[in-house]
Amino acid sequence: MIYADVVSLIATSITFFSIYFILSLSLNLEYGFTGLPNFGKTFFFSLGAYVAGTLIPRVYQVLFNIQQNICSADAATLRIQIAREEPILTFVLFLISLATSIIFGAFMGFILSYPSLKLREDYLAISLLIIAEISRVFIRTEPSLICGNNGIGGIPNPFIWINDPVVKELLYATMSVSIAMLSYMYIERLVNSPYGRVLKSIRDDELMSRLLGKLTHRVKGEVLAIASALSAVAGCLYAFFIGFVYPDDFIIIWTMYAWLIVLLGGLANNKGVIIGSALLVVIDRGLRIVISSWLMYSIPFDISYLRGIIFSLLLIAILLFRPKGVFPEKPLKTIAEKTVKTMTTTDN
Amino acid sequence: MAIGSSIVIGSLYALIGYGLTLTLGSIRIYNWAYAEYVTVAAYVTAVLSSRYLLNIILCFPVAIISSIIVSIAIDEIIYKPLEKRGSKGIQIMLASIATGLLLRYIIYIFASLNNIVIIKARYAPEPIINYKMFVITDLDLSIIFTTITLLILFYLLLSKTLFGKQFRALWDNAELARLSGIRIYRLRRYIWILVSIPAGITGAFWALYSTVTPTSGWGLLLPAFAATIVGGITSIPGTVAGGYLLGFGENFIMYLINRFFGISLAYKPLISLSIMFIALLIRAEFIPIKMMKQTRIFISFLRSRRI
Repeated sequence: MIYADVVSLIATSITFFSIYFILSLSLNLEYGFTGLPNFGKTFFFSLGAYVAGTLIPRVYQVLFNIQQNICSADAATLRIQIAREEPILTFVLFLISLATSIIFGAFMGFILSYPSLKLREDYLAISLLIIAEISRVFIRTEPSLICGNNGIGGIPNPFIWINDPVVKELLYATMSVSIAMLSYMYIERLVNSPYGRVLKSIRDDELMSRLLGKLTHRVKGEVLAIASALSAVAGCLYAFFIGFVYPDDFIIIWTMYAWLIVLLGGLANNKGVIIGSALLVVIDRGLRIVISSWLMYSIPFDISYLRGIIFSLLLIAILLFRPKGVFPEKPLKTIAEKTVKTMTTTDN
Repeated sequence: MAIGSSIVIGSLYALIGYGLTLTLGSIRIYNWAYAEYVTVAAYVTAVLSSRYLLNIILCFPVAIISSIIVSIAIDEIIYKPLEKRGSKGIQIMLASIATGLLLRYIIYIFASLNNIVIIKARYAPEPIINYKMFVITDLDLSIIFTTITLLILFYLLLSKTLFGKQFRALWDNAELARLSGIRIYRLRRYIWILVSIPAGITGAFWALYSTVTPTSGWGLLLPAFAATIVGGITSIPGTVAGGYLLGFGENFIMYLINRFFGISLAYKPLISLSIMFIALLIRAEFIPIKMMKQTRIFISFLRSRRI
């Protein structure tokens, strides 16, 4: 029994690690490499979850002709039952919602950042933050999307047809880690290409890079589209893992997690992001274990308050004492540099 | 009815936006923790009036003093060291978000320990004008009156006194102000006091106007920030105009849309978002200039009127 608990804890930690990792990787692409301060990460993250929450129940409702109200608990249990019997459909629906959230996230990222890209960077930061919070208020009051304030349940895990819960969680963790690693490889390729050097030039001196003929506004828009698509993927993974989409989950704290990880790991350093997200997961899970096993839930308030306090203190401390991040930026890996290196080694 | 609530809500947005713009122009901080100054003041008012049965008028100075204490403490502990380290605007903005979250969670814990997560001040507004649908209470009138008085007082303070002169010097160029012998860190403390007065007043009024939760300040801050964007971030008259514009958009225009097109009131937040978007589009010159010439003249008029 303890063995199963430990394995399930590890699987959960790995899943959360990949979610944090994808989210902060996209922020690192935006802020670390391009210098675009995105304070609306929560919004793009929640987009993926909202896609899952609107798409999946409606598909079930239409395909299996469910009579119950889409928001009701009966409909949610029915969806779970159907998903248990139809493995292929469950998995295909998961892939479809992943693809939809990529497209939708890229589209929204481009559209919403478009008006502020020509302006100073603080306009972008403030307007994205306002968009993130106000849209959450909208989703909360609008009943037709994900049932308003109550949220929507019964979003089946893609491996729900496996009877053993431990195997199920492990499979999901493996899948999310592989998605995270795929996106890591993609971002690494991107930032070590000539395109990545354009990004860094925009960050360091936008005027100069415009003078050299780069279309900086378009590049910034593209970066925001790519990064928003990635964050939407993270949100989609989160929704399928939790099995429940609830608008008040997506408060500004997700933005703060992403910034905390990027600053912990060091700006423009993707390997640092791995360490940062691992650290965050360890703190988060550790706090949960301490409170649940030692204190036996005896504190009279929610754990998430304590977690928020610890993480905001950590963020303030990093900003005060190590503003450039714990691990600094590394030089670019260009082909020319590699050739020079091999030449020098052969000379010796 | 909708007009009355638009003016009241617009006044509150204008007050908060005013405080934000003053901070931004002089100290150059996007202060997201400002929401928590409002929340603290609101909680102080609500608790004092409902638990300790203090007179409402007496609650106001206590609320203002509490938000002043919070703002100065935050500045001394977090913002000033960051500034002295040479942090950039985005880093200080991030620090202010983290500070705001820290304060909000502390308020959450405090509130859930004392069982006051949702609280309302012991006060019932009395209608003064009551004509069919059109109701104006004494609270509405006092909110509008206080806002206008405060704006005029601040205008006089910043334009006629020596303090105002120093303030404007800091606004234009901090280095130059320091070189000409202004003690900018002492001035900064006075500015924090000045800036937290609107927050305290808004918080106290909010406790009388509606229920107080740990997120009520945050809910007021977002439209106020949108108002500063509409007004062009560092323009004081622009922000006040933007606050009233958003108040009207969220209440009066939404009421009209709801009445004539039957669109649900849930779309209220989207109105302030779209007003902000239009302002951003105009500012970035995405909308053709000929078509928007009149608006642009209006906006440049607002921008040129710096204090």
